[in-house]
Amino acid sequence: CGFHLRGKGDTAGFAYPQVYVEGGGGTAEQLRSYLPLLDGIKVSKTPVENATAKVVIIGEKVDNIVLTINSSGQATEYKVVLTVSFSAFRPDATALMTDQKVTLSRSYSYDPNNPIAMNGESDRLVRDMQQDAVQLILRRINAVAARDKANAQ
Amino acid sequence: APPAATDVPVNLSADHVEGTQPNTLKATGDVHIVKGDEEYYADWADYDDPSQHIKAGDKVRMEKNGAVMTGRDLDYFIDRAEGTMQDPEYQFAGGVGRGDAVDMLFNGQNKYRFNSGRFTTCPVQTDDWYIHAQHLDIDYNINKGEATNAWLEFKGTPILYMPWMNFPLDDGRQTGFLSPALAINNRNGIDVTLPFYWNIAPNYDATIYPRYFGKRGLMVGAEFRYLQPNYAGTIRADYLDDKEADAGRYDLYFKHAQKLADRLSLSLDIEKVSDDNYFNDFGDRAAVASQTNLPRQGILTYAGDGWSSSLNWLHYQTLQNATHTNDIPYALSPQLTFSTAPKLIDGVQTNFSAEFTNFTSETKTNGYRTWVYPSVSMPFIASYGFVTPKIGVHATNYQLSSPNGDDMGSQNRVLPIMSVDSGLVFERDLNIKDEGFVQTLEPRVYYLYIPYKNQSNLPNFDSAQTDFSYSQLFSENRYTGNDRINDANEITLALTSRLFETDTGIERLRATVGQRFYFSSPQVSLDSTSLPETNKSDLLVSLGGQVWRNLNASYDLQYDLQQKSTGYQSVGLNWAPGEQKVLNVRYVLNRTVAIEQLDVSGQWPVSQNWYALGHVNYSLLTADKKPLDTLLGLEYNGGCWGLRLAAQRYVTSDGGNSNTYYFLLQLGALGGLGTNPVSTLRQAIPGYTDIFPTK
Amino acid sequence: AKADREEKIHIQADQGNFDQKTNTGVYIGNVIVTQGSMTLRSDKLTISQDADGNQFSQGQGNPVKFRERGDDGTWITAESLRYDYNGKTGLLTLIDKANVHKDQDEVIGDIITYNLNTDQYEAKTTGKSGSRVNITITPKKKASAPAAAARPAATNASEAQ
Repeated sequence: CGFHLRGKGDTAGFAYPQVYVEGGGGTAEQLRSYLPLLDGIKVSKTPVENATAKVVIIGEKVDNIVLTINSSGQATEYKVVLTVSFSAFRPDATALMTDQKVTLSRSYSYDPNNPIAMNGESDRLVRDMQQDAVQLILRRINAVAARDKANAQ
Repeated sequence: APPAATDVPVNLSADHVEGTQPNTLKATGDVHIVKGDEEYYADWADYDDPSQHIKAGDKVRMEKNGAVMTGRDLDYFIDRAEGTMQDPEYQFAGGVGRGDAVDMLFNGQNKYRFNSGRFTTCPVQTDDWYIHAQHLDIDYNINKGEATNAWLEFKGTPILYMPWMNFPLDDGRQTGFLSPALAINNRNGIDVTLPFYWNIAPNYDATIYPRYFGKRGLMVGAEFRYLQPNYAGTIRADYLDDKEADAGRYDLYFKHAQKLADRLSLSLDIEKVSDDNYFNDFGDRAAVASQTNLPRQGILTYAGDGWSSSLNWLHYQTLQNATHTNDIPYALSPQLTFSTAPKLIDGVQTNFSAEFTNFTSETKTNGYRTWVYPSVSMPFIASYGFVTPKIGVHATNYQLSSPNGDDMGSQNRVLPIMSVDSGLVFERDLNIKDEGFVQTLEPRVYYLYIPYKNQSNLPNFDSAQTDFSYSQLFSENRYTGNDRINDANEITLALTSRLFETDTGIERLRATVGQRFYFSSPQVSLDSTSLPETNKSDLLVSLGGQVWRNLNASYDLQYDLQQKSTGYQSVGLNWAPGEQKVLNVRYVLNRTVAIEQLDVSGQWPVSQNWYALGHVNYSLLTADKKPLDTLLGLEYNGGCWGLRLAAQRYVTSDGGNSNTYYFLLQLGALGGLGTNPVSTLRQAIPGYTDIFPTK
Repeated sequence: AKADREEKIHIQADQGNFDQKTNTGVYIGNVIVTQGSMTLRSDKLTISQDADGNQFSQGQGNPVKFRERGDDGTWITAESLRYDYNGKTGLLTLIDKANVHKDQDEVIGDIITYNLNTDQYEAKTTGKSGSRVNITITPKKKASAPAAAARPAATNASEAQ
């Protein structure tokens, strides 16, 4: 049915050999620890001119919204929404994409008697979404970079 | 000496001109004077160029950078833009305002005073509303209008008298009365708020809002906000001498974030209310639903190079409700956390996290709990997949004591945690209606081993059951917190398929099926009850994404194959075909929190300028079979004004209901008149877009 | 300027004759009258003097051109198809397509009447539809003093060449 193991050239790894990740927050941290694990990708501490691609995590927002309530008006489900906005620049500092948004959400059951545990659950879901966001961001950068290269030929 | 002539020539044309030197002209017969972008038309005009003084009559028309004023007897100095005009009818550029008056003064560039005049932002021929005022000062340099002895006329009927009022000519921040808020509520009667905004300085502002309740009296509230490079925060307090409850009722709210040093930052979050019913009476739905435990928290965080640490004090004020008593949560007095991920060997991820907490409670077991959790993992990542073996040791020590302080001994727990996560990535290109996609097929296998250790004798400070959801499939512990670490000898199999747009890499659809198989049945439970014997978990199905151009759908299922029962099921549809057009439907069944509900919300234009909106949250539980939260509203966009009517009814924690009728008349740039329920609407209706033209 | 009034008047023309009895001179063809800084060009000029020495002159041209330097040194030019000067009343009337330029100021109209004694002028239309008086005043450089009025006509006897 046409499925094949993803090859090296396709949308795997990272489109540029050297990359610098700018910005704070969980997603940026996870991106900085995930990229070096890809073979052949060097994560540099500072943006070296004309050699380093740059991924800028502009902002990261976490919202906890009441999703459902029970018959006494108390929250029974929360939805935690992570919105990450980022830009990506080619090694020659030209913009590959700017102000892109990745929005993810997870819902979780809320136990009003254990708010500390609920904070823990919300944080765990945020970390999980941040990992997901890293993959989605890399997918986008690789896809646009691949089209970039195709047009260049 | 006469003021220096500006560098723009003046042109005068007329039927008849008498002139004396130096350039003092007396013109009659359809006089037309042009200077730069200013034009004056009159039956006659005397113009003295050296002093730039025009006297013109009887009928005069004056145009200046887009503004048009017609009237009688203009007496005006062009360069200083000062003078008077009788019987003016004025219209400012860009339709930002027009009206008429008995007479007007020009008080300098873009500053006007109209005496016994009218002002509106409605276009010509639409006289839907006017501000009448004895004095109306309009200053377009700072975009502020001010009216004294003013009254508001809407569709011909006077609706509000204000001795003094000001209004923004755009939506900038400036001191003055914000739009009064009006609502009627079953618990409070009439509910009128007249907020006064005080723009103290660019980084300080305050809002004072006296709020009058028909049944309860006058509540005075004030909010002060401050914003500095290194710290920012908000302080808010409300106080009411409640006639009905015959008690003083108040709420305090203090949020502060500060960068103490380069790597050290502090955040404070202190909330307190006077009584359990406070939010039932004065909060909105979200406040009622979420404010069961009000935090009093201080956190110090330090971000080192490759490590971070935080010190956290946290106490709660727990609001009880009539239907069932809420457990008072533990307090962290304090909690110290530390985590680091040093890069010791290339390709090897080492993590070390530790935490010390002093859990205190008046009723339950107190204790110092210290745990450390070092772990090492060696992720191998290739384009076609990954394998991530991980091994760690979770060691915990408890020093317990009873609420009144006598020692209850110490407990220890040391557990190795071993896991191997692995997955492959298959891809194929796919064309759907000549749009290129990449479809992935991602099988994933996750093996987890944690030996069993009886933990029923350990206290439970911060562990709770989590949903068996997509993200929980691949986590080490089904319980949050650190008091219960589930024993595990299990393997989780999952298959995920995703659809990405080839050109942009944006994920359009995602589907996952997963299940966990237990080689030995899990035994660790939150309390001392024993878990049922099982060798496999519920089946988990999750689908979601953009199924059509502007139709998003999601489906989540957690199905117990043995008992043939559904633990969790939710279906969501969100259709947003255009501006102010959105429909959301969600069904959810959740055994963990015992709810089964249908949630329908939407916003839709019903006729030329009328928009309907609504939100119904209906509980299908046999015990309920009633709506828990209903919101119905109508909005009218009259071009230069808008009307918002909304009625909301939701259940409250004291077993009762809160019925509120919102009323908002928004007059162009004047901000709203009446409660502005937009934030409530936006929360109740995902995808709601505001329909009012904020000039 | 005022100083020009004391200068002698010179009149050149293709042909001209002077009638002693009526003390009237008629000149035709490229008539150029100069007096100090003032020059007046016209196709036909009639000039006469009354018993008290007041001078009257009429002229027509295509157009009549007048040029003189004002007291403040700025040049004043004027044009019209016909003009009439009455020394007794001090009124100079430019008739038909009249315009006066001084510095960058400009007065255009069908009839411009200038009172040399009171420095006042009047510009009118003939009432024909569409015809208008049009005045442009350009801002003065701060330093310039107000300019004196133009005085085209002579006050003493003219002399034919």
